Amino acid sequence: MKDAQTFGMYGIYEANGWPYESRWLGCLSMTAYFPHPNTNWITKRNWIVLAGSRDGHTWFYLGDRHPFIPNGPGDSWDAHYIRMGNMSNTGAPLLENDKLWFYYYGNYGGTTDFSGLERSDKGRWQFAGGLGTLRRDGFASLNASTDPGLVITRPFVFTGEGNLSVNADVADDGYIKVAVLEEDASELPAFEASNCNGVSTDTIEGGISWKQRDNIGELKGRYIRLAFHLRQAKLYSFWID
Amino acid sequence: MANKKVYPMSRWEDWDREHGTLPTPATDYSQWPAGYSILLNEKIMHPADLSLSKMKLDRKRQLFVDDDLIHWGSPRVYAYPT
Repeated sequence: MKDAQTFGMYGIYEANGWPYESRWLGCLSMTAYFPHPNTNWITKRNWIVLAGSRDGHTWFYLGDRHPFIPNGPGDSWDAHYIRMGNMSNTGAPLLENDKLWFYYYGNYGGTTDFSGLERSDKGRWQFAGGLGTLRRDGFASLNASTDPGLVITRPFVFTGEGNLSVNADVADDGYIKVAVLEEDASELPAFEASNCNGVSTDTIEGGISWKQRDNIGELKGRYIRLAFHLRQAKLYSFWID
Repeated sequence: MANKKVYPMSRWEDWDREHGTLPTPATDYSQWPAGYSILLNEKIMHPADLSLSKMKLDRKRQLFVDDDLIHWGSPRVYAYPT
């Protein structure tokens, strides 16, 4: 939508925010107005981008402002205008069978005259509802191919009992293994990646353990880091309960 | 016979006739290039590097939608509803 930015009438049309697990996420309906060729009308576009916040006050665009739910192609029913449904929960998705369901509504026909009437060459705007689904926690993943990848967290303490799980999609010849590190990033004995019983499948909730340890409960109260070793894998989330 | 609802059919020229010509509603970034280059740069607007800062995690799922949790990380790929 860089052309829209060039034209200038561009910005946030509607901002929704909802708590999702440990953070805030939001689906912003963006808008852009284009001068309509050969008339004084304007052509309007609305589409959805994803935003996030840690504290609910300061928000950032996620995904480099690329459309999270883009307008449909050509003369499809949602080619011009999209806003989130589910307004009873401010546009948040529903969790159903480990999928996130995003309801939205949209139309074809974003040409508007200044009186507020909305028209298109197909007549009055015809709205319809849409449904997009996404893997649970699947907004973004940290990926590795056959070249192994490494993810190291910031130092943290945890409030759970120490049972570490991941949501990951691992290919047949891949893995995710986890090492627990001291705050200075040195491996803790018994929690090395080489001793880890990792995840080697596509799982929404894959438990992580080590040969001599079932969990990291003994480390509660200490600042630790996690080092995720990935190969042929997509890591969506982790949690310690 | 009931009155039919009549929608106003004015277009921009009608509005202009009544209220005057609207200013062009575009943002012209060229008028203030130094300022806009700062305002549009998120790294400049939010420069704090949190990768070394300590944190406390609750039992909820921790996502990787941004770098907030990460000191060092593999490439991030965003996904979209289908």
